[in-house]
Amino acid sequence: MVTEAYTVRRARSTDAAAIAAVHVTSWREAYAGRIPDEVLDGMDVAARAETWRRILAGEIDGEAGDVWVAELAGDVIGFASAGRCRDDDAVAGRRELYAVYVLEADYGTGASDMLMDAALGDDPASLWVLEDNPRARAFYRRHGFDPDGAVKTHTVDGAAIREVRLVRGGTLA
Amino acid sequence: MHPPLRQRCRTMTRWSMRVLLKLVIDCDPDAAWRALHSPRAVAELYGPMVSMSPVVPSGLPTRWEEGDDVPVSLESGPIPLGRQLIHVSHRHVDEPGGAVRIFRDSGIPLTGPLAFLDVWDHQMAVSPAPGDPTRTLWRDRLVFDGPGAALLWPVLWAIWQWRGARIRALASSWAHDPAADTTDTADDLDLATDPTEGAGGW
Repeated sequence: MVTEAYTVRRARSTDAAAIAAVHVTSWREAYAGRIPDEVLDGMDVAARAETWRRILAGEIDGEAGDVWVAELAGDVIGFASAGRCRDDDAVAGRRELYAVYVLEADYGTGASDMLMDAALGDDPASLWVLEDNPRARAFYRRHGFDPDGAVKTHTVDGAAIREVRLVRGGTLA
Repeated sequence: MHPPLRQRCRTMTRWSMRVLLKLVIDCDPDAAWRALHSPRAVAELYGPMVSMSPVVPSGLPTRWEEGDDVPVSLESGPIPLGRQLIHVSHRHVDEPGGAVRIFRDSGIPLTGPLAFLDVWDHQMAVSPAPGDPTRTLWRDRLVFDGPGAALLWPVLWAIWQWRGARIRALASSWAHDPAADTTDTADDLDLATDPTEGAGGW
């Protein structure tokens, strides 16, 4: 049985606004109850679009990497980005997955897996994920990622946000 | 390091596995919609072939709410089927035959044999039965894919046939609205099966 045809391709500079819209919507869908509402409500699509425009143009030092978008019927429904690992204890040869998001309407369709495959292939990599995000952690586990014990905590609007690092492949520094 | 050229642009048309149910049941769409939101009623649909139990100490919620992420454990007798994260979302569609309410579980298998699947999309649509708005047209669609999907298809097909029979059998008991009876709690829901229901084919 055929289901929808998703396309994954490298992002273009003209995708900035579409990526920003998916970015904001997917955060609100994925992080409701996990990140303070004030933060999610305060996300601004136009500001995100400008940030993405600069990322795609290579204007933000250290953030430039591979950015991919997933489309369904010509509409961007997800994105992924990866690049050099930004951690102080980065392991040589191990890349970092900065983000992979799809809209809730496209959960469970395999679009996220296509984005992961495009952004990382089978490369050794690391990523940071909310500690309390069982869906994302199960997704990454399926792609071979396991916790390495590293944890970092942010305080956002008075709420502590804990992230754990997941790694796949590579060797220890 | 960059992804190889073959990954630069990929179009994928997935030939995913599907299991479909379409049946008319003996309750109105409001009752069917209410049952879809009751973890206890949903658990009854799979029992006793498959049992669903809570993973967290607080137990199952009394009602699935949109946006919920609820981990549950599934077992078939002594055989663990793994843990599943249930993620609930709603959609409403106007069709020529009337309003259709769609309950979608796009959760993700956390452990067990289903965790190898990278596609899992279960949608249940309820709408007035054609010509009889006191009954419900129930359409149930499971789409799945990934490593081992072909091996899982007969298992899931069998479970879904059982599920269809249970939906027909239990539907008349869903007509009772616990919210209208202030003395009831979620644990008091009477979901007993009437074996005379569900005898018809579909």
